[in-house]
Parts: sequence; C-alpha cells; structure tokens
Amino acid sequence: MDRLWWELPLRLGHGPDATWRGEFATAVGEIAANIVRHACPAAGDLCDARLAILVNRVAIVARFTDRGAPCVAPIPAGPPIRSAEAPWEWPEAGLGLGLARAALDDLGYERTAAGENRWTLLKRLESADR
Amino acid sequence: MIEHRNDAITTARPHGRLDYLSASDFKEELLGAVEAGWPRLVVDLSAVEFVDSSGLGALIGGLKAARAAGGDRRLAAVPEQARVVLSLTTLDRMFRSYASVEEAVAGN
Repeated sequence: MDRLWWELPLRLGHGPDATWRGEFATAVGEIAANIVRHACPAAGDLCDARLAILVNRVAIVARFTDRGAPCVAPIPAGPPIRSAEAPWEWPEAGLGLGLARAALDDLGYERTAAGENRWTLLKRLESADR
Repeated sequence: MIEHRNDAITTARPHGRLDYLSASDFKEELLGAVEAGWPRLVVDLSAVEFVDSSGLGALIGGLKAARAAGGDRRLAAVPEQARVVLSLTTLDRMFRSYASVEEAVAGN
C-alpha cells in the first residue's frame, strides 16, 4: 500500500491526504483480518486469498477474493458505536465490519456460484481533498 | 509495557500493531493494572503503527474496567491511523487524548 500512495500522485497529479489513507488502510486491514480469522483459519494455501487494488480518477477499489468459508455476518450500515453516553454497553468485539464500512463509501460482499468470497471496498477520491 | 509512575498514575506504552494478534495480551495488561490497584492509566500510543477493531476492543475493555474501579484511561501521542479509528467510531469523544504523556499525566 505504501507503493500505491507513492505512485498515485504520479498518475493522478495528486494523492489522497493522510486521513484518507488512514481510513482506507483501516478498512483493508479489517477485511484482511476477517479473511484470515474467519474465512481461512486453517486452509492455508487452499484458501487462495488475493487482493487487487484498482485505481481511477474517481475512486480506489480494493477487491479481496478467497476460497474460504462464506461470511454470514451482515454488513452494518454505519460505524459500530454511536452512543457516547453508555460506555458499559459498548461492545468489545464484532466492531470490524462496521469500522470498515464507516471508513469507506461502499463495502460489498458476494458469495459466487463458484464458491468464492468477494469483498469490494470502494472509497471515492473526491473526498481526499478536505 | 506498564510503568508505575507514582501513586496516582500508571503509563502503558504498547508498540507495533494493536491488532487481532496482540489485542488480547494488551487487554490483559490493562486489566492487570486495574486489578493491581492502579485504575488511572495513561496509554502512550506514540509507538503504535496500526490499530484495528480488536485493538480498539482492548482499549474499550480497559476503559470499562478502569471506570468501574473509579479510575480512567487517557491516551497520549495518538498517531494518525489510531486517530482515524477513534474518530470513525466516535470514541474520540470518550477517550481523553493528549499530545504527550506529560500532558496526559498532568491533565486533571
């Protein structure tokens, strides 16, 4: 990913700021961790997890594919914690997908007929200049 | 990682990644400080390069335990990616953050 941040200004004339990069890296890290922990815990090479990063002037997309177990958790619509008034109610687990969703403009999951998991993480570059 | 500074405040300085691999050990250290009778803790994040939701869960668990024991958790020297995670979850309003450990220890 460091190479991506270095190359982007060369390709597009500008690169996203540190906050944008931190948000994107956070989302990519969460989905990668989910794949390692839940989809592919013991599969090793059989899991064949891959990441592709797609770039154009409008957005950056990270696409994960793997052949591990399907994801059964729903994708939250927003961040995992909203209320600041009740700290004893805050969850300590299950925060990952909500955190990833909050860091992106779109997060999609698909289980293909061929038995592949496909995660699509999209973040628009127009939000990069803040 | 945990340093007992004085009778009132203890500091913790984790380093590297606070993620699903290191989070449970980190949380144990935070809870251990509370159980040892040191509920007021400053967590120096200056050496933390990445925080994921598991690391965040450990920080939350530490904060809950500290508050239940009448203490608190403060964060110091929060780097950009950790700041992003706290901001996205709105927890930046719940964890008091300071620019340095000294300011966090002094802030009352």
